[in-house]
Amino acid sequence: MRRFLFFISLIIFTPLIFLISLSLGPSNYGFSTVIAVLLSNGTPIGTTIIMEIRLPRIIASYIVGSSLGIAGASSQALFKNPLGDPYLLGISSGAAFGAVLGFMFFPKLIPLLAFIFSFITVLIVYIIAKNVDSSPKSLILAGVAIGFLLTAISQYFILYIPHLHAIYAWLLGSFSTVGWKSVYLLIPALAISILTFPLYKWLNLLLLSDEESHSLGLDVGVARTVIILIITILTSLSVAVAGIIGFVGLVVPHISRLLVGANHKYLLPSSLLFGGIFLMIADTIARIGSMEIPVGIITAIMGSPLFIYLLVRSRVKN
Amino acid sequence: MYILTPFAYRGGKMSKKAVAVGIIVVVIVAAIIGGYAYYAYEGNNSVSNGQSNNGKIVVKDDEGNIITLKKPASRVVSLAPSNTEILFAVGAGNQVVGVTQFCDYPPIAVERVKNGTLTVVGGFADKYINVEKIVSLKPDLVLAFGGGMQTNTIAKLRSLNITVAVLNPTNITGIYHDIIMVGELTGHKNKAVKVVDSMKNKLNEIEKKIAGLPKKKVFFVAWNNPLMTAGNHTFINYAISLAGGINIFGNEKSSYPIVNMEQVIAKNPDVIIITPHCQLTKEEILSNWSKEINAVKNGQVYVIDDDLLVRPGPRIIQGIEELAEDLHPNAFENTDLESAIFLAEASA
Repeated sequence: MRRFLFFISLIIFTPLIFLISLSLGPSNYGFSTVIAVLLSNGTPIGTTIIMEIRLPRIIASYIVGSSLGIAGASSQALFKNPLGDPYLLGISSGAAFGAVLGFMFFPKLIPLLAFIFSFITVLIVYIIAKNVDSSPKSLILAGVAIGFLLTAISQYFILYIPHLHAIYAWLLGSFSTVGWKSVYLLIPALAISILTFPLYKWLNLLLLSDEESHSLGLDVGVARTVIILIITILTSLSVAVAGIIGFVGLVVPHISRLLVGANHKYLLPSSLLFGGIFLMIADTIARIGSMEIPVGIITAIMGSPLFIYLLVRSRVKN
Repeated sequence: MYILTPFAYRGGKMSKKAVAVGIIVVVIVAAIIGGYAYYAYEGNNSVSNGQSNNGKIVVKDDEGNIITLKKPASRVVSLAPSNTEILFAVGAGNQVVGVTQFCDYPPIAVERVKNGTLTVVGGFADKYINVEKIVSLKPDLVLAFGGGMQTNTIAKLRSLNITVAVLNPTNITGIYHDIIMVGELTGHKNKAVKVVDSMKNKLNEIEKKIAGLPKKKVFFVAWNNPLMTAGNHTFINYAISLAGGINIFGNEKSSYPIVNMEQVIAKNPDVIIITPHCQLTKEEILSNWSKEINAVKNGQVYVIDDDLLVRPGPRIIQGIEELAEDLHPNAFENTDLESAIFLAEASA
């Protein structure tokens, strides 16, 4: 029943929050402008602000949030670890490394380089783990080790970048220049997120020990590789569009789990819906002030108290 | 007397001893404050009396420190590009022995770094500055930059008995003051005064030309992705206002705030200023940005080398002039014509 209510409320609230978000912004173009534009009799400037600035940005933040939600839920199953996070595979440090190279040599290619290097990093982590025992533990350790190495190299290069303000802003994540092009880039991410739903049995089985899941008919190696690939594509695309937004991949699946239970049949759709709303709200807060705030700051400030509240409450109930 | 209550009340009664202690404390505190105020007042006076006391050079730097030199500095280390530009402008270039990796003007400085007669002592902020290298250059004066980025370096150098003057001008008067101060410290006061005079004249000329003209709304692009501009406490903001413009984000308290295209459209700038490093070109802005922005509609997008606007040195006037020309081209048309005629006559 609670599960049902949760899904119904998510489905009702999403369009509502979407409309509210669309009518909020740093300039004085509010709800009446949105209505006018939707009825296609808005002023040119109002139409530009609603259709070219706010709408693509809201859609992009929703897709990135849902992708990170799915990637986070999958990571926690893959690593069998409640602290599982898509960035544990080294994606964030790989992306940051690519971005730093971009800032130094090819500023136009920062998103592409971030995408490529997060992919390469996961590949290296995967190969190292495969040479140990392919276990979640060796994946985490290899990811952390490669992550530290790349972060150190990035930090060294940052010494030579004069535009420090810009790179720190990028590293904290921001949707400030997102337009329709980014939305088109994110459509594959949305498609992959939805295509993950049928894989819920794999994720449920991956939580068991390797022997158990093997005896229940799961090819653990194949399942793990496919899941890693999904996590990597979703997270790399998100990072390419919006930079490194922390906390969503960690907190969204946990909150969803506390509300709908641990079965991935429900956990995946709710992580998608909730992740989308969560980041949509966070980015709205990030952009409505006179000055933009990197959205990564908002997700952490919003997420931590909510997470702690639900954690304590679940403990009391049990 | 609230502070004294713990001493004064013991068991509900005020003891004479406590009252005496209280009075002594008050007297000591008053003496310290009074002494400090007198010292500070004296300090101010002795400096404003003139830079020369028995041949000594005495100046007060931008953080209020009294700098005393027995003779003009002959080995100077500069810890900021603007300081280096000031040193070379006042004619003290040959006395400079150390600079930062970002000191790329004037060209002779770059040349001297290449041929090894000028040493790079590191970057701009504390953790990138190599104090050991500075000490090994045996400087008799280090020109640091204020604002907190070099606090530890300054303290370290002073503890090693190296004279450090801190420059941190916040407006054009501050730049004039610093140029004169560097001139005094290096024994080039006359040249420094000349530099300042010519800057003042140039600025007067610009102000005359744009006097009475309507202020243009300006959007300055510091970086493209994320979109960043210059806020309140920057020289760019100040230069825009001197050039007859209004920075549309001039009220932002952050120096380099991230802003949002929605605000740019809503604030509707008349002119957009980009820099060679901001990762945007005029063509990109004209073809990709909304035509609802006046500057885009009218093609008012200009490139200015940001070094001319962010460095509080002599070239700031050149930056202001370029800005003023971009904002008010009609006011400067005659000058271009005059200088063209002058050039034509000169070459004939």
